[in-house]
Amino acid sequence: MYRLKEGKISSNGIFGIIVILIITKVFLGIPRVAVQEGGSASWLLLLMSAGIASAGVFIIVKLIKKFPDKNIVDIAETLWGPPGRVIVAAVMASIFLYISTVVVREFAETILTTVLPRTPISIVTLMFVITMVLGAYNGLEVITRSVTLLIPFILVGITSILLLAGSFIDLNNFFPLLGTGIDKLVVHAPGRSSIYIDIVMVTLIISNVNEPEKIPQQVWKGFLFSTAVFVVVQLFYVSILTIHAGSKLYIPLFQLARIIYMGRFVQRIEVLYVFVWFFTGALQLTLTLYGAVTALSRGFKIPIYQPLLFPLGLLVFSLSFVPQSTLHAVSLDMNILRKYGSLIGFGVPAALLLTSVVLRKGGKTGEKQKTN
Amino acid sequence: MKSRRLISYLILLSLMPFLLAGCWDRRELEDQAFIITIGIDKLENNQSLITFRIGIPSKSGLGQAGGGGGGGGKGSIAEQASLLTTIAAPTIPAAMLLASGYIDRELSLLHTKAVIFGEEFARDGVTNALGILTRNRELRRNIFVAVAKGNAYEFLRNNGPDLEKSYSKYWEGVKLMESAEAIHPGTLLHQFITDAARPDKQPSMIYLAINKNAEGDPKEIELPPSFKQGKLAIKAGEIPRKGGNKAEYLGTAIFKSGKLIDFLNLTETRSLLMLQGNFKKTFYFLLDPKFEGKQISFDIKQGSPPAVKVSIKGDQISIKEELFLEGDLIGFQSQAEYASSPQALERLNQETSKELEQRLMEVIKKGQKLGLDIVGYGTYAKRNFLTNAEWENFDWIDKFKDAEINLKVNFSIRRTGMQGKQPEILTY
Repeated sequence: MYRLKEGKISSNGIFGIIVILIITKVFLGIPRVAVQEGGSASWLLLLMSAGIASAGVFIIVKLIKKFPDKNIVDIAETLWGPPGRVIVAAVMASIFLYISTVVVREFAETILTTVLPRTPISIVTLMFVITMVLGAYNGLEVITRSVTLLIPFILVGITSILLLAGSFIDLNNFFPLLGTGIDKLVVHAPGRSSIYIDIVMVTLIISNVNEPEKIPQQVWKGFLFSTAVFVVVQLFYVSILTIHAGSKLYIPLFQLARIIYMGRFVQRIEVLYVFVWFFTGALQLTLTLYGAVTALSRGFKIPIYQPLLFPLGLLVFSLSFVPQSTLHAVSLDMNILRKYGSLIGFGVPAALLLTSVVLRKGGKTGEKQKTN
Repeated sequence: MKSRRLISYLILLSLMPFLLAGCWDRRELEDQAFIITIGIDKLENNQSLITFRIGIPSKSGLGQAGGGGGGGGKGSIAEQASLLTTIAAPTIPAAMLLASGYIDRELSLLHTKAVIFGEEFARDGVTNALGILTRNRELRRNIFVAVAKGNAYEFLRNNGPDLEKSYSKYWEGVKLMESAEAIHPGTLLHQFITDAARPDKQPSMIYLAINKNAEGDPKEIELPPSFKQGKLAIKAGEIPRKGGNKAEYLGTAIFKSGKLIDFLNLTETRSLLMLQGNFKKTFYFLLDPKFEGKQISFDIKQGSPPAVKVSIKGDQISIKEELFLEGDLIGFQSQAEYASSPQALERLNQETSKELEQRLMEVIKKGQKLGLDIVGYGTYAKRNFLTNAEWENFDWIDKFKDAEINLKVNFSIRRTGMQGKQPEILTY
């Protein structure tokens, strides 16, 4: 029965989990969408959206500090009773199921578009789903170890692509400095804070973390690091591809990798990118599927989550074919999930925090009441 | 229990090969034909004449390259190790489909190095063709795009590299000539489509042509008039020479709204590259300012990137560009003391700076006359605007033609070569 252990992770593992959950989006449409909405100030748009998302992160961290020994569904039960537990679990599971479904389709489509054009999409999707299910089956400890092991390679991969494409950099492409204008940036930034909602996963795995008091610090570190990665990638993206080409590329970083030419012997290095891309995608998808099954198992007090993996994996596999085309899948991600997702992703923790403040429940409030 | 687990692992392992994506996307090398160069020419009724130069790797080791057997017509090894075919079709994918009717391999664009547009096709506009090129998953954005004088198929047919065994290597060499000698802009597909979409810089391509006078008796060579004025005002197809590959890559094709409108010769091309800061080094020739009819040769490098400042007041544009060039004195025909007197060298620096300023201004004025910002001053002008909308509403291209441009060239000779004073030859 050892296989059915979820495992314990160190608080440092939280950092890796957050980084993987967030930075995967640089491989998909975020750089392009940011240019469409922010123009030459797309990096500023991402910075502003991170600023707004920091409020959501602050809420999550506050909630963790208030209830250091409880996950989000336990907190919901404490504050809203058993129905609250079920509702929050269902909402959390839905968010991660939605992310898994849309992202697996996007990754499968991009793989078909770039490297495996003749392979049926069902096979590519199946490969991802098998990876997700196997990864999640082995538990959080195994996933986190894989994340910790692969993050350096992923970051080196991204950095090398950016640096090798550096010969195309033109700093003039950052101008006009305010891009589409401060009014448009202000309009779009709140929606794009949804890029960071995956952080809510931390509230589901608190009980799996050794030294839970260090979780807030790691959450902030992961969030700030991921924001830095986003902004740096965007700066390179705009300065190399310009807003004119950058707003039209379907797979932005892949195109960046394909223009690299450093003499006869350093070219065609997008192969490196495909590996980085696949590993990052597989890790993110494993984590989101794990998030979905954990939310359900904890919400419904199922002692082990593994039996849920196969049905949920099958559901992800089936639902991923619902979007008619690549464009529909991208639209579900960029125009819905990453535009309005923060309303739910940060909204639920915010509602719980508000309730705890109003009802004066939770660790620190309780302590204060005692000392008073 | 243990054996059951082992059996289940073995079953899973035996099923894995069926799931491997290679089963569908397996493409053996010997089943593929790699298109190295694509030529696109105009036909009537929106149809095109598509020419493919396809590599035959098994033949590329036929023997030692070289020997002057090139010049088109299956003379060079590269030509023997490739197949040239021209098809009438509406698009490149359609031409590939039709070609599969007589080429028994799957055509691939994975190793394509250049796309060449015929002059007439380019004058009609390359926008539609570019749409197909950029969407294709096999074709890279770092391939060359070029315009051939006359027809692209004629260029491809007559292009017989003498020194290379393959056309892939030939195009690598063409690329090298951009950085080593600055004789063409080295435009990549990525650069062209980016520049074509932006108002702040207008796009250009490499200019190619077949030199019809490349064969024959050297006594027939005619000297271009510009040579006597210390300029190399020639384009591809005009190099005064005999022998060697008939295909030439020299000069720049300029585009407006996606359509070819004019060309820059070698001198102008190098001026453009200097102004853009895309210039590394080149041999440069000028008339000796003190000795009539005598020439001076330099090896010019870019000292540091150009400093450009664009000021905008209302509709008035004022541009200041300062270039920092340095060079080695390669040789001079007169008995001047350039290599022995610092004062003479300084005077030469000043005279050369003036001459370069004049030549560079000619290119800027040519662009303004055509209503184009070929240098890309617009990329600097954007700094004067806060938002993309303000910048786009300014209508840079329209206003640039009346811009006031002040150019300053700082040329400095650093080294004078292995010789001090000129060798003296007694006359008696």
